[in-house]
Amino acid sequence: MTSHPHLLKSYDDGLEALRRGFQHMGDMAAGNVTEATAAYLAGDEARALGAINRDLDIDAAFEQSRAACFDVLLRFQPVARDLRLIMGIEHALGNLERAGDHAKTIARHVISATDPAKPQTDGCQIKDMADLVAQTLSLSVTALVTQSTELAKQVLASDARIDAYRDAVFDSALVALKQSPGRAQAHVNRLFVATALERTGDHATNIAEEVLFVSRGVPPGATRTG
Amino acid sequence: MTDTTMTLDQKTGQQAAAAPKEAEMPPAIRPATERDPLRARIEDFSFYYSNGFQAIKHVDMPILDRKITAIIGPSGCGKSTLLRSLNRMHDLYPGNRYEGKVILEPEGENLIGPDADPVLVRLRVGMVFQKPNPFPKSIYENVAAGLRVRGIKKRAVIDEAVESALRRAAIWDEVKDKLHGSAYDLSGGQQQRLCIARGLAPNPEILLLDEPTSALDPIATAKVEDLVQELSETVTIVIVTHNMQQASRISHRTAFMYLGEAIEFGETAQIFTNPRHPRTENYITGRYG
Repeated sequence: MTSHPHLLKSYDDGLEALRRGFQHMGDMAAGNVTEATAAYLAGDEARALGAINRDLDIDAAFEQSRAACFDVLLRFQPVARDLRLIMGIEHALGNLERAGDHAKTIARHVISATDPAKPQTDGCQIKDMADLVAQTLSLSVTALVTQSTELAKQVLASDARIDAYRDAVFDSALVALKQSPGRAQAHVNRLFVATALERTGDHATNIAEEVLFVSRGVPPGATRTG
Repeated sequence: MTDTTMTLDQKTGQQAAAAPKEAEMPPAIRPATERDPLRARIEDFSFYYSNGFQAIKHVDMPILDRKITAIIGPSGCGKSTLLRSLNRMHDLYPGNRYEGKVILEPEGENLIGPDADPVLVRLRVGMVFQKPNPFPKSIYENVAAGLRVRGIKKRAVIDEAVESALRRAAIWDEVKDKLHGSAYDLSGGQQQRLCIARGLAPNPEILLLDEPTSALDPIATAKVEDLVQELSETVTIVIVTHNMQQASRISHRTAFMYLGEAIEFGETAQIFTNPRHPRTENYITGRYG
């Protein structure tokens, strides 16, 4: 990371504001993944509604940060690493916005459940998976803000673990469907929640690839293996 | 990175390598690909002012045929000095000294060699300066000046060459009805395009542009930029500019100079998105330290 300040202090201020905005949005997105999953596991409709409403805040933060990206592009015509950072943040913002949508999807399964007040009894894997996904998403945000390729590699390595959780939830849900077909909706909801979490993990992976792009200057696809 | 991309680190790395045999040593300028033939090669070029100050230090740089090469760098880095060396402008002041070679391809003629006639060099390597500097003559005579120096006297030949140069400089339609009016009656942007036409008239192989738009408004600048890009289909162009957006917009290759040295040379897109050398990065991103 280039440590020298810009000749224009306002340029540094603009980039710092971008980083702060992105970090803030990342905190909100990761927090809402945790919150929506907790609402799902507890069957807490009010908490789920809170998570759904917070997605509006994430969307607003997305628009605000995108506007900040355009502002820096317009005012300073960045090049080299600065340009890559702004392009990386702009792409990563989209990933955070989608991660927020997945959290909303999880919360909606609480609202649509036939018996939402009933806590999930098979939620151990979902809880562990959600913790890992939220942690990975936060790590990806920190990796981009600090332009740390080491953290980005940790995020990329987590993706396989997240996928393994998703597979485990699928396997257990299939068994449960056969054993207790009367609770089919609950089992299917669990599959949807696991899928939403897995896709959230994919967005963290995308953000980590942006970190490698920002740091190395080669397209994300070329660094997919880390 | 292309064959012609290199950084000072790579060069010094080559020099620092444990004395490889001469035959094994990489060439100072890597051979151009068929797609990018060379028009000139600057080899181990140094320039000293008459007071002994070395303004250019061992620069190696390929000039690609019918491409635009931009030279960027902070004030005093030697970019204009290098540009002016390419058509022997420094010869106008006694005591200035060149070292190394500027080889014009495909003939292989050394433009700064003792046998090269500076006047003929300037006909083959035209130059346009920062401020429009038309001669205090008519539009026609400004463009014809280089042809007369070349010894062309036939009116019909000169007429045709003047019109051709003015058309190439995208100013014919604006001046065709007042060719014998004073060049000073033109706007700044028109005067600069007239100077480009003047430089084009002798049909040079290379056209040097020394900050050609720094004295122009945005509209005139846009016209000159479009013109330069069109011209690059027929003539090799080397441009010095402080405007990095301009360099990134119009040039195919970019060289970054610092304290008389060519720090990095490469494809313009690479230089402005992923420069190899930290000094290049710091300069183009507007950092100091």
